[in-house]
Amino acid sequence: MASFPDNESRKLIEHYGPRIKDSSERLEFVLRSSRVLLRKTVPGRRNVFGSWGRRLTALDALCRASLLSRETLDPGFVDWASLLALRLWRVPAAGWKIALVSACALVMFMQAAGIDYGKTPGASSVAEAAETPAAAESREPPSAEPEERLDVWLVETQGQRELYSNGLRISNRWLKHTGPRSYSVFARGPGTETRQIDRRERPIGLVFHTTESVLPTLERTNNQLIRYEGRKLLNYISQKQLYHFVIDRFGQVYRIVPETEYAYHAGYSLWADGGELYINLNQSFIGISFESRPASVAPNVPLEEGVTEAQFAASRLLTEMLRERFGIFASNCVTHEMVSVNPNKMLIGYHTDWRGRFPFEQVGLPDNYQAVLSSVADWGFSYDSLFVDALGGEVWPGVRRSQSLFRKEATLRKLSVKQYRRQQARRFLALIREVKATTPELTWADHGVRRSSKGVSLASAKRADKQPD
Amino acid sequence: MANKKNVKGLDLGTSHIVMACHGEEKGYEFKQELNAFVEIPFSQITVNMLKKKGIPHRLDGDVCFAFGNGAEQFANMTGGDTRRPMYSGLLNPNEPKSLEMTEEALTKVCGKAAQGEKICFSVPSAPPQSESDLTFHQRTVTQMLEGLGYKVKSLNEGLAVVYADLEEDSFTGIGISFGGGMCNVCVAYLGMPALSFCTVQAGDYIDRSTASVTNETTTTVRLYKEKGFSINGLSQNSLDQALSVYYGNMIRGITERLEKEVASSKKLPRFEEPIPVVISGGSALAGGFHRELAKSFKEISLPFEISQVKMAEDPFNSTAKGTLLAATLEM
Repeated sequence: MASFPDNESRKLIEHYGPRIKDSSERLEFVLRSSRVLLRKTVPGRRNVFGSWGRRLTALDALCRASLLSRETLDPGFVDWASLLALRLWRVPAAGWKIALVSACALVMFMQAAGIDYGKTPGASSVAEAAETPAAAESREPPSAEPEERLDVWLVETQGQRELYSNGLRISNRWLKHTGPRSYSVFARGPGTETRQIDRRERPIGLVFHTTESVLPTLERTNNQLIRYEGRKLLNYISQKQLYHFVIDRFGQVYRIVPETEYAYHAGYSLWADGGELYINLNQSFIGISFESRPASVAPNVPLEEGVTEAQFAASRLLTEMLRERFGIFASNCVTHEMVSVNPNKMLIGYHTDWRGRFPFEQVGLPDNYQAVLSSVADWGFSYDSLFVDALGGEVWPGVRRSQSLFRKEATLRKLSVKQYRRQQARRFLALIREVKATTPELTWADHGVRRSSKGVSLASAKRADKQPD
Repeated sequence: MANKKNVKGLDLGTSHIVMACHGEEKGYEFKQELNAFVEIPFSQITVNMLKKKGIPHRLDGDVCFAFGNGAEQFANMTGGDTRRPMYSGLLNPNEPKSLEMTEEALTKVCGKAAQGEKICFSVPSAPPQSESDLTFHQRTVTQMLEGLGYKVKSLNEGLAVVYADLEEDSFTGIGISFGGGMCNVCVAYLGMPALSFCTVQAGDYIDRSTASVTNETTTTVRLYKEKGFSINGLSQNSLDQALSVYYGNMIRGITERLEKEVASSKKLPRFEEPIPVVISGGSALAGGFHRELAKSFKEISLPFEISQVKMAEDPFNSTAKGTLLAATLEM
């Protein structure tokens, strides 16, 4: 995969960057833009309009990520006109396209003739709607060391085992196939009409789960039982294709479903990253599960007593490999409870796998519990006492920040929080219906571990394989 | 974007520690301290003198450790050498007082953090076969700064130079920091590191090698060098001659290594236009250094063109400024 934005993207950044006078703001713009445009760089994909088309696509991405707007960096008339052309081009009607090709040709001709249009106030109609507080706060934070990527590669394959250059070993013994990934990316934020802006096949993030399964005590005399339960769990997960990877209590990594295919790990779930919203993470995220007991990550149990050091060490290597291979940003490595929702009740945390206690730092990631949740900040999802109990009495900081952003947004719109929440709930359900209608192949199943302060074993989850409709 | 008044950048170098912060009005403010200390037998007179001169010190049984800029004065008075808490860019494993002195120096330079204050410090690239040393260094310094109450982040030293001085080139180019213990190189594309490495042939290497062939102390060599030495080819003065030889060696070492690293890198972006090289650090301040480096760049073969080799605007503070810019970003 490409590690850097293409040449057209670079030119665009170099065009707009110098307009920002403050050094740190300019650096932030360059880093954020690079990261947004990096995703648009798909090796081998050709654009019918060549470099001009690639520039437009990049421009479009920057506008959607709220990096260019009338309030901050206002693209000139030619850019606005080209953007309008691009967006109309995407409207599926042949007549439009013919008219637009002519319009684009005209713009290109005038551009080539060197006609300077300057900035036209009326051009704002094409601009993205104003950035919302939530979108502004939760735009992916560019780390000062921007995604320093390790060079991790497959060193050798021996039978069903893979060895990677960072020491990661993966067993393919339980490998099963589902189908290729394909998911819609939506424009994020309540300030914009939620609509599909892209369709992708590449995983964009990681979701960390726990199996909450039966774990025999780790004693010498239990060897046979340990092996038996381990096999039983892997067999069940493999049959149901519940995750992409499982890390057992000894730190052995098993690939259950190939990364390029979907797995049934997240169910009703959503996550937003910069200006992009992802619904149903089965398709867009990779699921990694840690073998653990139901109560092993309960708030009153020290984490190290449940999940082992070996598992964290292995997950760190696995995370490195996956981030390197698919260009996944650290901000998109999250836990199941951060993304899981119940859309009918508009509640977050339908699953509470890690109960707000995932040690991000131990797997080489920033503390993503500080991140804004789109479900709460943009859509007004709430939580109930069961969720708070499962978390040990207090929600993680990102939830509180998100709630405050939602309240701010409601005030900006001169609505009460309740009214705004109702409005957003209707929009979200409509969005879910749209997703279901446009992608009938989409699967909403998940690994079936429901929230409860005590936790539920996978065995009981067999009886409840479907989420609420 | 973080509150600019609530962030600091820190260049944690082998020879100097430089802290950068945003000025009261505008611009940047820097505070630097020599990253060295000297051991002095304890006596009340010495302690009084240290106090009078405002030299930071620490009493430890029957000895006293003076550190920072004042340590050099004492070393000269006693005719000895200062000791270094760091060696080749990392915490010095052979110095028993390394951790204590680094902690003292960090406290002196950075002070205690205000509520929610952030700091970003520079780290070298992993030295060959010593990745674990870098991890130890990074973690330990992070812990020390966290102990002072900061939210801590680290940044590659070469990349910090790019951030500080390649703004007009959209943070694309090569940043090289010629420090005391290491030379750090980073090839960056739009602010993203594409390739980074380090060499240990740096200022200290020049001092040690020159001292060895001229029978001088390293402190003498360094003071001579800092008085205004210029790389001028063959010289009758043995110090000048030795310094020229070892400077030349360091420069060739860097460019040849860059040539090799670039040739073996699979992940370099395509630079369609020539890119600049920016150099910083105390070791780059020698007269004629810039010219010699530019000449050396012409002798190697790279898959991209170099537009210019330029000196950082403020070579001594460039890394600190870069880390400050990084600290200002959301962490």
